[in-house]
Amino acid sequence: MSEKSSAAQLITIAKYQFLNYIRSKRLFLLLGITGAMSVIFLIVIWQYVNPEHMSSNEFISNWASFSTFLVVLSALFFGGDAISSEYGNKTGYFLFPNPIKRWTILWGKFLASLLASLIVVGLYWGIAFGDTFFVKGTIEIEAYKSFALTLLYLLSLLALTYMFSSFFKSSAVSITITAILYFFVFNVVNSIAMLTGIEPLFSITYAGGVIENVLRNPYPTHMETLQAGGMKMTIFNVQLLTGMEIMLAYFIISTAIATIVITYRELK
Amino acid sequence: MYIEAVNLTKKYGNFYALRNLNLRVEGAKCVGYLGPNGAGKTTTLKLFTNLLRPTSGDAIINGYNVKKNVKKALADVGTLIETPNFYPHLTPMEILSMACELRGTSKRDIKDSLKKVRLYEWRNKKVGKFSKGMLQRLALASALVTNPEILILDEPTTGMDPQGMREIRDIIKELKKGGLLIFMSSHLLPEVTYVCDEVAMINRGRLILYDSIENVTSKFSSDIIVVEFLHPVNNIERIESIEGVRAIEVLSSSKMRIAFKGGPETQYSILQSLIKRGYKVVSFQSESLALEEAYLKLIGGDNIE
Repeated sequence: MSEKSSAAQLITIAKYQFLNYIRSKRLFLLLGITGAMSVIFLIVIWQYVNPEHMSSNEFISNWASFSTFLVVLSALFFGGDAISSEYGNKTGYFLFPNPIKRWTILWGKFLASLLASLIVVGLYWGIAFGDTFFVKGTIEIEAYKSFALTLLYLLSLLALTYMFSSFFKSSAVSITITAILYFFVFNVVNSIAMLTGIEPLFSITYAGGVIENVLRNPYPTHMETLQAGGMKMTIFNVQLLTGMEIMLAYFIISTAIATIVITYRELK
Repeated sequence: MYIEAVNLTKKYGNFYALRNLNLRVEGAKCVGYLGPNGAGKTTTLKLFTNLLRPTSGDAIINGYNVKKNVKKALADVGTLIETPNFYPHLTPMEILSMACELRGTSKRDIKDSLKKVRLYEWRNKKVGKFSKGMLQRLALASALVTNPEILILDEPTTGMDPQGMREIRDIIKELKKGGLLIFMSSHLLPEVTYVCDEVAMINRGRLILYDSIENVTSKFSSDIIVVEFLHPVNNIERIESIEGVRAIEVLSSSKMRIAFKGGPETQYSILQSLIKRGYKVVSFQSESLALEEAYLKLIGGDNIE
């Protein structure tokens, strides 16, 4: 029997994982949520935002602020149970005994998740670009940078989600813990860091701040200290390069850990 | 083609799930793998299929170590371990297509495989709606669809109704004729007797027997036969006088247990004598399966599945 290359197997895994997203209606559900949110945004911006005195970048930042939330949703929808389900739902008994290296399964699934997320995030930013062009007549280079940073944020957050997914056996536990982490823990950590004056360089949601910061002119200063009454608070604004480095580090470390875990983890 | 365990050991903490298993199974045949609960049967099969990693020793398939060269080792192996689940939103056609694509084999046998396990009519239905028995059939189809030369099956008739069990056994018997090496665990001794050529028994992680069913049968045959006659039997003495017969216990007017001395040949000569003496024998069979005798003697008081 001829041996199929790992690259070809990776594509096969990605293909069927993507088909699973379509059949399970996850992709359509998130596209629906994205579409609905976009319509609400269009109405709210049209009703309550006066674009006359706004630059193109300021206008599109209304859209960019929501895109980090959408990235988190995409990561949870497509990556939350991608690996844990193989163990918890016993689908691994079908997949793992094939002549395939485990990392191929991980990366094939990751590719499918990335593709599905790109469709969702791409749709959202497409509407954002369309609206901005319609209202302001121009799209500035910073908007494209913000979009590119959103994709980098997506890449790193998806990798982190896959890492958590590779740790757990139950899909529900995997998704719940990852959601709690993204929606609460990181934000709490960021707030504590601001109060203690320590820059939260270890927080991916802090790094995600570059998506909005890059649209601000001038780029916000690194540190701002606020003092009210007896309380002193330091507000950190993540710098472009730092944010990118944090996101890249998350991507590399998370995928490396996930690859090691899936390679050695047993299906008992 | 062969599969071989070389000092294969799997340990969880201080507990040995499998201890220094040495077993080589080679050629076109079907080997039954028996043992009580927790003996290490499924552990062995999982080590051969890359679901577990050995603590020490090697699981080798066709010369390739499963741990070190999984792609080559499992290239020609079809597997059914426990009752696998499949992606619930895909159809059997898609599941089997995926299996073929992962192995780089032709998809031409997909429909045949589904027909063989009687799932053809369900080929385009989502797997999420399937019963356990249907999932088991699909799992067998996925093991067969790539036409492997080795099949590793873990209790393949689990979760099936009696008719389904019979069908699966017949499929396995047919596959055996096609020159496959089949290594299957089972807790059903009649199933192993019906399907397999050889049997390996393990207990507490150790191999305790590996021999042909024929040899096991001759070594462990029961010395009691249960005979049923068409009409009531009055003259027991005539039967007691047959050579080889030791004692008779009457179970009903037309049924009795005959204890005899000797092997299968004596058994045959008793049957011949009965017929010669004009008894109309309806059934004539050993009280228990030889394999069951072997199992009970070798595994003794341990918990029997």
